[in-house]
Amino acid sequence: MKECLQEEVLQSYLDGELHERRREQVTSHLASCITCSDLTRQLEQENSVLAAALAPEFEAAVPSERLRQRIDAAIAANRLEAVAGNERAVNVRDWLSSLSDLFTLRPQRTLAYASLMVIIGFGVIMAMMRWQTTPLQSTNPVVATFPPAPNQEPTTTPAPISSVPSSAPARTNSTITAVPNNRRRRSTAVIAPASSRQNETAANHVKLLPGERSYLQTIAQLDLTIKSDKGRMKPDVQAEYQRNLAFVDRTLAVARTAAKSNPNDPDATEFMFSAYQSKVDLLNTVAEARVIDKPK
Amino acid sequence: MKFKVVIISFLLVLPASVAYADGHGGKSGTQKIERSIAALPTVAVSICVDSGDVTVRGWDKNEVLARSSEVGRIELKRPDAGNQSAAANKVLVWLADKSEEPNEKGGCHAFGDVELIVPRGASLYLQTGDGTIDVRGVASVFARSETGDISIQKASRSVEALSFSGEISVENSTGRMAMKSVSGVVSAANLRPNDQNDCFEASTISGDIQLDGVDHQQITLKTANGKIDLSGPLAHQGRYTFNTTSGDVTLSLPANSSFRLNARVARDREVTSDFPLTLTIEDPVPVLPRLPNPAPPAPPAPAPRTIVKANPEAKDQVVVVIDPQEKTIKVKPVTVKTLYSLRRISAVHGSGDALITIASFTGTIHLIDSGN
Repeated sequence: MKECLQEEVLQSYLDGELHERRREQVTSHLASCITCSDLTRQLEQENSVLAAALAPEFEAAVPSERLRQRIDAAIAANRLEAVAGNERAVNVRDWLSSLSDLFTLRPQRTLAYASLMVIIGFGVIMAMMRWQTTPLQSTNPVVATFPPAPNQEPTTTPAPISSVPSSAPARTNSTITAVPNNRRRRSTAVIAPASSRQNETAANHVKLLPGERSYLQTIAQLDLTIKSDKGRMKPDVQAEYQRNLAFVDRTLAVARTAAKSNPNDPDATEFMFSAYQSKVDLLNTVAEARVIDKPK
Repeated sequence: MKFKVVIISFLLVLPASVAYADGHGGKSGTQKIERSIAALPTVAVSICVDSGDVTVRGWDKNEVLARSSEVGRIELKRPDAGNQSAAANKVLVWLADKSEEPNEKGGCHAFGDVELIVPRGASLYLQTGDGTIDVRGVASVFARSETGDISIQKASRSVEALSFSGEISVENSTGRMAMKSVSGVVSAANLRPNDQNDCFEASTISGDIQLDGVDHQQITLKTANGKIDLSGPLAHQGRYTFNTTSGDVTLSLPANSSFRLNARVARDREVTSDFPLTLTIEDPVPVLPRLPNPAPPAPPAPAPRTIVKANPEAKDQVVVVIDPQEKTIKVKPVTVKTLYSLRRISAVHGSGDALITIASFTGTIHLIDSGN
């Protein structure tokens, strides 16, 4: 007779945890050993009793399974995030490495960088020039260049030009708040900064003599025409034009001051209008010179 | 091996062909192109170049001839699409640069000097950007140059010349004259009208205006900052109007000149005259207080006059302040300095045949006796 099996071996036998060969050996031993077979029956009874008693606990294992699934899902998610993080890190590393590669100067790349710097520099210069030009235009409207008359007489509340259509007839003792031209006024309104309000206030005190408005309108229109076509003007013509314009403006300022100082002197007024006409003639000549395209 | 031979052959042939092309182009560059067309004696000829001198001469043939050694092509087009075999009454001289294709528009865009020979009765319409215009012996001229000089001689019917900064010169011509420049000098000499309606007009901004021997009855000169100089005899019953803003006006007149002078100058400017002038200065009209029952208006009293007569003993110029209260001042030569309130000066010399009206804001008026 063979030696009886230990209880742990039998328990493992009942739990199905033995290998196939060992299980066959135990089965043949239980067939020939009454003691071991009785012990096995007792263990089976205890297992059934224990299973009945722990049945609720076995049911409660389901949430644990779901929990495990959730945990597995969370772990999987963490793994994905970790993988994604690794990928981002790899991307950043790649980007940084590519960026550092950009600064690795080779002859072709150096040439390209130099061209790019030239273009950027040119753009910056043009932007600065435009930025500097715009405030100048806004603070120097055509009519604001006239000096205020030294002996201005008090007048009734004048109507500002900005409230009068450009086609309106000349009105006595009007004040200047903008260039008397619709298109020009619009552009002036756009470029006039709030800081130029003081200049506008000063210009409000410049009183127009009868007939001045029409000259100012004509001058503004001609000036606009010339400026719109300024690119075609040859440099020497441009210089000559500016020189003569300075002459005319200076003369006009003097004549206007005299006319304002002597409001009852028709000769002074006539000289002022003569100076205005000189400016119109100059602008007309320049504007006409632009249209040499083909013979009539 | 074959490939190397082809490459080497190509490299050898290429410079040779370029050199041949250059040589061929150089030959054509010196070649003078000439075109002509039969035209009426009063044909109208127009030409426009972007840069280049335009020279025009009149001849006795009824033919328009154009030639140039600098442009690529010359065409004499007839805008009057009538009978192409008849003589043309309008001719457009069309120029094209060597670089232009045949279908390009040419015209005012061409560069190069051009010479035209036209009938003496022709009317010309000439434009150039920065070249000079030189015309002699035609009937009518319209000439416009941006920066180049314009010279016109022996025009028989009319002259109209415009220049931005170039000098305008017209001599020995007859008919109506009009000249306009911004900063160029305008000079005219020996000009006569064809009839009484022919007038002479010239205006500048900063250029001087110089007239010598201009016989037109009506002369109008205007400049902003330039000077006006006129010399020569005055036309019978001539009307002279001179307007400057800051430039001086100098009239050099023969001793036997007869004129009336209406001058307006600034209060601190002078009128100097070698001629004995009879001045007439109007006093300002007094403002009378309003009365409750005004009496019937009295007839206007004659304005007091101040007379300046010649003083043969005086040798040097004397500055005389004309006061309305003064009646007679005798000096010769006389220099008249206006008072604060006196801006208009009316004066007569001789019988007052011609009328001279001068307005100069800050300039000085000089009347010089040239002695002839």
